[in-house]
Amino acid sequence: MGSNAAENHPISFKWLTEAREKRGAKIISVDPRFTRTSARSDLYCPLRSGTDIAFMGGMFNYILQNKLYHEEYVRWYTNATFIVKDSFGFEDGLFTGYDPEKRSYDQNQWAFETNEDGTYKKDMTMEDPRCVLQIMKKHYERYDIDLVCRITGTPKNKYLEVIEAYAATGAPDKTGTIMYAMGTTQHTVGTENVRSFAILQLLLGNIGRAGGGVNALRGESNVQGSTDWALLYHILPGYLETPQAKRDPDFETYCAVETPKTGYWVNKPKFIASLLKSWWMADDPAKSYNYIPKRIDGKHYEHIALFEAMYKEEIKGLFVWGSNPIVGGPNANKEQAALAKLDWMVAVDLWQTETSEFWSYKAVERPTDKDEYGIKTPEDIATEVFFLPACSSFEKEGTVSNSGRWMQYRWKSADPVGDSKADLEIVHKLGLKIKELYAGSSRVEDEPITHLTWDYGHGDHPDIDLIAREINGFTVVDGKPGPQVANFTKLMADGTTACSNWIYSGCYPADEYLSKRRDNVDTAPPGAKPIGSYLNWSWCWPVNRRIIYNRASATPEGQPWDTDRASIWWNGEKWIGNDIPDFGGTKDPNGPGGRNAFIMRPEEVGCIYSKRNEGPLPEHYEPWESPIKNLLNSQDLNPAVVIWEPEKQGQTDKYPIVGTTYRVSEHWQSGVMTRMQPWLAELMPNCFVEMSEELALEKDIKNGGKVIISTTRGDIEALACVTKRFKPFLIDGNYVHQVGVLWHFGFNGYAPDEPANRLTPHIGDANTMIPEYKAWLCDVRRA
Amino acid sequence: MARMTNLYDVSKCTACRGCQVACKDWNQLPAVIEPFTGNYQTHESTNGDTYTIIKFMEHEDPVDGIQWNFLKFNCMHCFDPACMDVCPQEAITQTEWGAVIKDYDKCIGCQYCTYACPFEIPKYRKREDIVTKCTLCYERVEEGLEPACARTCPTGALTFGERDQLLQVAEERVKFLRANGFPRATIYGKLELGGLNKLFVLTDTPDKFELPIDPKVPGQITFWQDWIQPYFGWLIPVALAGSAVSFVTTRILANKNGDHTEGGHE
Amino acid sequence: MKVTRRQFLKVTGATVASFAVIDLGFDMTATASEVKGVRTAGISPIPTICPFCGCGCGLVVYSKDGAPADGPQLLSIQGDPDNPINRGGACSKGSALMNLREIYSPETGEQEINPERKTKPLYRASNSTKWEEKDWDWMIDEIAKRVKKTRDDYFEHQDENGIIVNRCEALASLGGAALDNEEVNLIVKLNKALGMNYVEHQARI
Repeated sequence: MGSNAAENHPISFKWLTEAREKRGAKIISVDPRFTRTSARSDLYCPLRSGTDIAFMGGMFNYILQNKLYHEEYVRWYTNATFIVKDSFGFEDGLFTGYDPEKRSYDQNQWAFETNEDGTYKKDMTMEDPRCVLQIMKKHYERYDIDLVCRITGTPKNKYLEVIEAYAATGAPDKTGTIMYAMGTTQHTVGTENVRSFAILQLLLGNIGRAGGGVNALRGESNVQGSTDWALLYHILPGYLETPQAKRDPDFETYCAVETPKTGYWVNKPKFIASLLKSWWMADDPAKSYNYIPKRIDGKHYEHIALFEAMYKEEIKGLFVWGSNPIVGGPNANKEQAALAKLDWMVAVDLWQTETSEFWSYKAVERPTDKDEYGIKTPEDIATEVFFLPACSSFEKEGTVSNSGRWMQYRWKSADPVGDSKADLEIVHKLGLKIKELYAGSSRVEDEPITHLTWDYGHGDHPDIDLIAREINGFTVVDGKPGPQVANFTKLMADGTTACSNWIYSGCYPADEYLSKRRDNVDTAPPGAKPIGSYLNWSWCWPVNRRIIYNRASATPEGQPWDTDRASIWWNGEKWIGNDIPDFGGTKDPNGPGGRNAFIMRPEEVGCIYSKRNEGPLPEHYEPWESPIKNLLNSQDLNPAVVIWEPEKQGQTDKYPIVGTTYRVSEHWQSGVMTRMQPWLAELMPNCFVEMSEELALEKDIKNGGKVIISTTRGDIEALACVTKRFKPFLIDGNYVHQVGVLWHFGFNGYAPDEPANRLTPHIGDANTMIPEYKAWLCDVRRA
Repeated sequence: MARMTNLYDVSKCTACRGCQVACKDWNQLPAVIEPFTGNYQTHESTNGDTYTIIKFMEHEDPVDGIQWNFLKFNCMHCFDPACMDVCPQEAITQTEWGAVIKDYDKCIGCQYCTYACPFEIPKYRKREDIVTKCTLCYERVEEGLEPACARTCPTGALTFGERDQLLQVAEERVKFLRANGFPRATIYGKLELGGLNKLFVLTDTPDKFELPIDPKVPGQITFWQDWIQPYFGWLIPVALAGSAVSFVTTRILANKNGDHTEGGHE
Repeated sequence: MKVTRRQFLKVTGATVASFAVIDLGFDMTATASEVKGVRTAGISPIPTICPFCGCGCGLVVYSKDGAPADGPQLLSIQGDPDNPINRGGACSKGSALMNLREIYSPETGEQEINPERKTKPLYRASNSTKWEEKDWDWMIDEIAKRVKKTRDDYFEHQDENGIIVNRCEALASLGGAALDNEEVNLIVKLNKALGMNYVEHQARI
């Protein structure tokens, strides 16, 4: 659900096929259209884009009413037993504490009751009407099967089949897994969509167990690693918060404010101090803390906000590292117009991305588009552009981290083409040159650069081994790197250790960079079945643990829920098993905290109830552009989202069709790699829009013919793919059409075509501001 | 020695088309970029630089709902290959384990094999004036390797091995599928045309996969095979008068005279 | 190239005994046919990880020993049979990896460097309609100057409350989700030293 795994993560289907063939697993595909995944699933169930929470809410209701949840798991490993303060309430789509002016909530009103010693009040019988389970039960009573189907357009019989099949995984000896991707996240309710999956998995006891989990299918080879490394505004490497000026004015305050009182994050000061030490080795962390830029409290810096700021000429210089926003970014016309307002841009890529040539005739010529930003010629665009040719992944060496957090090494197997270089060398040269320009400055504001530790060996190409050691962390001896630490448990808050990413600490503990390991024997302790941990293949963060929260794979007493899928268990003295315990290795299950399976949470349990910007429990809201009013409450739109361009909201009178974007197996992301690969251009040579035979008949559109798709943001031309696999949805008594456009295309390469993101809006999720690519309104006509 | 073959189980194929590209990688084939025509399947059939394709077919009926069927389509390596029988240059041969292969040094691009094939698989490659098709990666197989397509298949839809053993696997699989929601599941390639060195497990009847239920070698080809080719040598002068045949023979004579050049034919 | 291969074997020294990139094969007994040989015979494949989706499939690269650096070097790229993630499998994108560097020309059938690959740094001046080729030193110098100027013009050392903020809201960085961990480790470090808050990448979109 929310992913099309057979298309976009084809190898994942290797293991789904195996589960079906060897274990009798059932594969369920929930998707607006019948996909390659659906074709190989046991059960296909359609839903209209943007109605996942309604769909999940109906499942919660059914599971709670019929008591199909995994009761022991829920009791011990989730916050279902916690008592919520009576300041919490919910009425007609709004939780208590809402400020309509600010479009935000006072989240303190949703807090838990605590005892005098600060611990949480609980009712282990889960019968107290103020306990989370009962509050949840009441919240989802409204989500009855018929109402859900009126919203989602799902046939009732199919919906019931899905619920019954999936709820069966609530049995202790069964597991179910949810594979999701951008179909889940790219909504104004994206975070709550994912949360609803987590809630379902907690209810059914499917987290921390082999064969369970909420699996984010990562779209890029190192989107995991690069997120761990915080190429995002809100975090520093290892998921440490970026400081905000008022909230975190100095190091001491940061440590006090950002460090929770309970859970594993109590160690945060050690991690931030070690990070600071790896960046500015000569300075005390309390001083170098101030070298990190501080955000303006509450200011938005997300991708959409970044382009809005660029459009307002607040941003002058931009680095683009292997990214292509004028194809891949939402509201691409506006993002392209914003680039023209920069003073300079540096683009690093293997190819001439559309973004690197945004100023060219090819970029500004629009046969079909209205382009309200004014079609310019290159002569009108003052931005200086620097294009640096990067080499490909096998023309250099280094590691990438996959969706399962495995850090695997890539060896170099060919020479870089021409003068192209590894990004590592490019950033290294840039760093050296910038430091050279600032050398000799004694200005205090230049200290972040003049004091920066940038010591990666001689020559242009940095010594990757030194970087790997910095990642693992080491003791600082006389202001220089000393011996490496064993793992993050050895990091210190006093400036005696340096580590550039604490969660990776342990990847290079002595003489071997463990990411290079290639022993593919799947071992298990005597008498136990292996579960696919492959503990000696590469390395996995944290501390080579393959399944996080694996304490939940065992009963409260410490024995496997299911011996077939045993992950770790208590042998009377310690935890042993097929994985590295996510838990104190000798913590007695019957002793204090011995059942607290979710150690990264302050509550140390899984969160069914969790404060997000729009509330503590997922509630259905319609997409920003929706064909109908919300049938569950009178808030149509998520009350906590930021509305950037109110005038751009399309209405059903002009734009009656639901539009969505997606990918195909043969292309990748903005297509800038795959459109340049002739073998792949051959397989998918053009942008197409999939639509039902009914819609095609209505609009007199021929299969394979040219059509124009339009929204309030722009128009594109694409070819029609008229298919039986897309059907109109029966929504609250009326038929609603949906179409889907591939977003891989731009004007360069062997398969050039128009970018679908000229259609998509600048609006995003209330917590992450990931754009709502997956549900918007459009119209389609013959070209 | 035992026949070696590919077993292709459509019920496990996700149409990722790894096989289609792996074939190009191994056989060093350029891309053939043709426009999208309304189906994910961008080539209607194989072509001179594309030995294998995945076909995409949609069916819908009130009982079963939607089926999106995929089929890996390439040379069937017939037990009794019509292409081999008609080749005037004896460029096509059959390995003892069943691969139907071609010696491109002998091929003169006459294209007679393309008309003889019951599945219309061999295709003309203008660049080199030859007709090409899947070779079952015989050079890999003879080194103990699997064909490139079977090697790359992520889901186990394509396997390679001894035909007798794979036939047993296929029969078991069909039994399983028939009992699990595919009552019309069937094997293809076991008996068709006297046996194909390529086995399919289909989830439905062959027509749902654009496969001929009872494939036949075209009539005029049988005539050629049985009556003309044996007397080919002395028939040449006679044949010069006939159009299709003259096309072939002219080129043979041209080749024999040594003035056959690459890419010289229009 | 040779150095690379030796280096690979050296770095995997500890596990070289267990390392066995062998092709997925079967026991081909008593073949009477003439052995033609395959072009990858005798070549040690070098393992890599697919640069596309997040599955992390292993691939192996067969490349020619001693081929000139500026010409075709690749023989074939296939799934890594040893990698427990994909066990030798590869989808269309993974199987097409060779095209990132080299293609077969549709006109001649000859193997050549993918003509879409950019081999020189390029500069586009303000209001210009074209690219100009430049050398690396010129590019790095000019970029560093632009960075310094923008930073110096827009840098905030302290905010209106006297809090040290060391930020430059006029600089931004996008992308990096396909880069190596070691690379992003340096990028984030440099970005933060420059005072960037506008640091975003593909996980946000």
